[in-house]
Amino acid sequence: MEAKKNITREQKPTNELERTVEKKVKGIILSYKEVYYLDYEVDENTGMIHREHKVAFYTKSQMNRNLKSLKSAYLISKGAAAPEEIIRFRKKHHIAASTLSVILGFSKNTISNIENDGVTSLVSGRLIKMSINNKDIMSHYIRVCDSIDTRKKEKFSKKLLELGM
Amino acid sequence: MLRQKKRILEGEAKTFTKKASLELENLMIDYDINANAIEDAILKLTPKNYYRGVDPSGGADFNVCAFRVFVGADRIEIYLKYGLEIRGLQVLVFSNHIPDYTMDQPFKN
Repeated sequence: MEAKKNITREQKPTNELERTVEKKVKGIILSYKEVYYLDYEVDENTGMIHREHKVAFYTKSQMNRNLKSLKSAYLISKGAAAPEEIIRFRKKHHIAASTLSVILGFSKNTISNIENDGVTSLVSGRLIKMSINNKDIMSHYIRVCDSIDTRKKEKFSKKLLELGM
Repeated sequence: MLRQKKRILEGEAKTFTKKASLELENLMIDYDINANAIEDAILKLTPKNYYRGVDPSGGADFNVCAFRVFVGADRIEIYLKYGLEIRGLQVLVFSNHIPDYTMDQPFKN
């Protein structure tokens, strides 16, 4: 996939870069991916550009993506389900993201949004974690779900029994 | 003018330094805030938010100013310091953190 481009102050295109960052938050070391681009350093005291070396800068969009990534890592450390964990569960049980969403009582796109953008709420993240790790809870939610038909309910319940969590 | 239009079209009008990024990350852990809130605060600045200008001479690459503003859904008070590029249209955020001490605004009123 072609790297995203940013424009430097000198109007030159430059690649968006990605790196894994470790950050200590409230005593917990979190690891998350951040995106950035390089441009010449600016001295915040003088307002002068130092054209000797380049440092990391962040566009508004990159900032928001990095904040989401950090927030997700933080919520996962507090007990929310990680996106990879949800994907693993869905693949194992052959269940669509939209189906899992409605079984757990979310709107159709919630699980897919979490898988793509990370966890945004500790409450929903913990609910998902508890549900995908507990056969009884998941079986109950499947049984009482109004949004999927009986055939699908049976299929998914059978998979749960066969494969476990 | 074309340069400015290009930058706006690229959506790069507001950028953040590493320091500003780290500060905003720290705020985001405790408050409902993101980069849009900082942009919104910059767009709504008035003279009563003014705290200080670092170099009023205009001889630098960026005109740097500091403000006291309330941001995000939680309306938290922050020290906001940014530079406006003289030859370009980049707004570079240097700092956005909760002040360590009360911010006296000498030019208020």
